[in-house]
Amino acid sequence: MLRYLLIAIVLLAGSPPVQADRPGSKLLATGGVTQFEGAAGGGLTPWALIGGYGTREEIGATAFFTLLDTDDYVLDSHGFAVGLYDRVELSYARQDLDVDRSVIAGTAGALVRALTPLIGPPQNAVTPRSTSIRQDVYGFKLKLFGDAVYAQDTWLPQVALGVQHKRNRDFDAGTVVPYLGEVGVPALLGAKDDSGTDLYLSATKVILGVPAGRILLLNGTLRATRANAYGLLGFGRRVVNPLTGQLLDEDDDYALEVEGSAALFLSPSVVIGGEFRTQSDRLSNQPVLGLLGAPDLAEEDTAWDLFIAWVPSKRFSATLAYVDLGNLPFQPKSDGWYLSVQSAF
Amino acid sequence: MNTEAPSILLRALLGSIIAAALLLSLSVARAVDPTAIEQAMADVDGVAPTRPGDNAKNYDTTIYERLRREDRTLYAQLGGRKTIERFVGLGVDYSVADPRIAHFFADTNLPLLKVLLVEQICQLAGGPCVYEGRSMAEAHAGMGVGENHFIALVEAFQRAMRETGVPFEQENKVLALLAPMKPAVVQP
Repeated sequence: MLRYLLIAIVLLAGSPPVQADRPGSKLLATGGVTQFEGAAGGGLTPWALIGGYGTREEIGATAFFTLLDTDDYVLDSHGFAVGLYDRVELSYARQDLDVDRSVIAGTAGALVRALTPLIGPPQNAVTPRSTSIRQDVYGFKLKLFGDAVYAQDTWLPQVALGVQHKRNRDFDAGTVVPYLGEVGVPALLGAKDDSGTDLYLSATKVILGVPAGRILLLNGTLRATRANAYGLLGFGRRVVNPLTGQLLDEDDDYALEVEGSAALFLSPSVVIGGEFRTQSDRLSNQPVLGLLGAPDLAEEDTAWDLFIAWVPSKRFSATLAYVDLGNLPFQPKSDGWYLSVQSAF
Repeated sequence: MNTEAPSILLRALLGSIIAAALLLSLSVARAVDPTAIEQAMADVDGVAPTRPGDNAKNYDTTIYERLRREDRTLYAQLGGRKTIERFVGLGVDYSVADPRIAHFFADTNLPLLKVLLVEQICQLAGGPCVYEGRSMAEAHAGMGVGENHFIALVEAFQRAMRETGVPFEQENKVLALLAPMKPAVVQP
């Protein structure tokens, strides 16, 4: 329901009858777009820019809708953000990952192949079905210092500290597999918790007139996280023998992820760029999955994308990207098209 | 009676010679480089002496200026004074017409403002000008300029540059030269 409401808001906000002083006084495109976890930035990674068009004296808001299709995994992410006085950003994003039945069928098949010789065939036949992993992300960002756009006389970037609290709603339930019955994909793959909090530091710099008179934006983000696949596969690691309940290994530590973006304004309203984001790879070399013949089923690679964004007005922007998420369970190369639209108020 | 007339004449002549000498000495004094005097004054009250054109900007250089490898100055690329006069004229007009910032220009001598802005941009862009107006901080002190107002003026000038045919590549360089003035213009 929220998803359709947001689509409607985003599309309608592009139309003319809106207040004259909205969405705010910032220069076009200087609020960034919205990354798939709800923070203002690029597509994959948050930037130090505060979202929306509100300047130091104003409040601005944005709403976004993103679709990322990598065949067996289709991610729909939507939400909104409020920028307060170009200093604080509050955001909410709801993520819905559709997992194709082939992934569940692959999991079921691996379970049957591994366990039948040990404990016999499963009791009930289970028809693999596609499933959904949903997650809520609550974001808070605080600009610490710097002026990304206007401080053209120094290399000092704009720096912001951010927090993303994530709650996975389908951690230990949502799908049915042989032998184990109702399970959640994250727990099945060895994740420990259904929620976690990321902490990140972003530094953003815009250079006007470079290269060759254009505009270049550079961003670097450092993130401390316990999330697996952005939280969609849970948080932390806890591997338990599903048959005996014995704890095999555990990892509750924060890991550091590095993210980077580069964007180039070809014209006042067309921006091209690329991003990358490393992942913690916490669930690789998993012993229980190893018994099923795929210890690195949930291995994580560095994700990256190439994008083109169109910002025709302050009210509306659209971003098209090619994204490669690397390995996802049963889909070693998870790449596909990404489309995101954003409205500002 | 005859002796008085020549003495009056003599006094008048002496007077005019002295007056002329005084005037001459004054004009010579003006042409003399005042730096030494200013330096002496500075040593006394600690106020840094300003040279002509120092008020044009409140910063040293922009990133793009440090990185560039261009043969021609931005002034030459823009097409010289004429282009600057065109977009400054239009930029000020758009600013005055913008309801968000119109009130700042209520008592402004607009033709003078345009001349000063042209001198400033000409100098910053490497042209043969010397900006002799006040510094940005002085000129905007106490006006209550917000970040939103500053950006409104930037938008007016972007629009003016686009309408006068300044290419995107040159527009961004002009913006790079004006952007760092923000902390001096916007009230803290």
